[in-house]
Amino acid sequence: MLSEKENRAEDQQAIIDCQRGRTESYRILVDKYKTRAYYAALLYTGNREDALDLSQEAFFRAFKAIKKFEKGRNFYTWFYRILRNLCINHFHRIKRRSVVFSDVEEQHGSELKLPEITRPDDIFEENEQREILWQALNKLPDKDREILILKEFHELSYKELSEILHIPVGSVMSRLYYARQKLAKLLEDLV
Amino acid sequence: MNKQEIRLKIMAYFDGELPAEEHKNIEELIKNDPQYGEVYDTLKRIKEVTQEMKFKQLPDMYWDEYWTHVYNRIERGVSWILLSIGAIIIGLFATWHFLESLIADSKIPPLLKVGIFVFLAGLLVLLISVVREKLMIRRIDKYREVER
Repeated sequence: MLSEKENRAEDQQAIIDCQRGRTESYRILVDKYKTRAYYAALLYTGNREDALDLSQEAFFRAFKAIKKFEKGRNFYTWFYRILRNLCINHFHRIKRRSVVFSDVEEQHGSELKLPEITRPDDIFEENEQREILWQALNKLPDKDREILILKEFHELSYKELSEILHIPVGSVMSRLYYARQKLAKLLEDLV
Repeated sequence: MNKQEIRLKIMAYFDGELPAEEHKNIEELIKNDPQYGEVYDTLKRIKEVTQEMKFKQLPDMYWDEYWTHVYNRIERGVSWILLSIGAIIIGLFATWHFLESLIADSKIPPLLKVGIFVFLAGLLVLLISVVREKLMIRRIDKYREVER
């Protein structure tokens, strides 16, 4: 297992190689981060196919932009912002589509099918707490839910959260603290 | 240190982000003051719940093919760039030859020649205008990374 420093050095070397046009070196980065990328996308999309497609597309877009990558930055946090934007756009597209469908559905008096993003079945293994936790997370404001997911499921450090969310570490801490308090309260109410 | 700062430090301690020299202080506060003990217990409860959640495993075949899919997209991206450059060169060459033969052809009425030149000039100005606008938006749009 590589130390944090060795890990960072390996990423930097792979990035330099990619910037020199060695596409094959990009495989090191893809293999290292594909699992995290896939599960990150899965939490936004709620289904396997979209998560695979969006995470692969994010790797492609990151490769296209790799020449702009500033030396010394953390690859994953930089990549994660690309992935996050892709997922948000994907989610907005689904939402727009569901609004169009809801107009039609309302006219016919039938029930609107909720987007799959609200169902945890495709994301987590069967678990007693799954439904309760998912319900609680969905009741939180988007910003709180996002920081909680990044911390609790992706186990990112405060510094990484600060880079991804573009806010100072102090703001990361207070946002995370209040989000956790709200989640604890919701979990108490739901149990 | 006010109460809020202490709470945030307890959270940093819980997340393993507090400098070692501050551990002792925070551990004592958690142990001796019930309000801070409660903060720590809340964090522990959340962690217990989230740690029990296991992501659904993806079958190995998807992981085996993952790099191939990314590589195919990269390859296709390069193909599109080459295709576009080629199309631009061919287009410019064809336009140049078309204009050359148009000027040389004495059978075509001068008015039609002028019409074609004006039409092409309009097309060129339109193209430059669109490209310039796109470049300006790209330079000042802070949300350019977000696809619309």
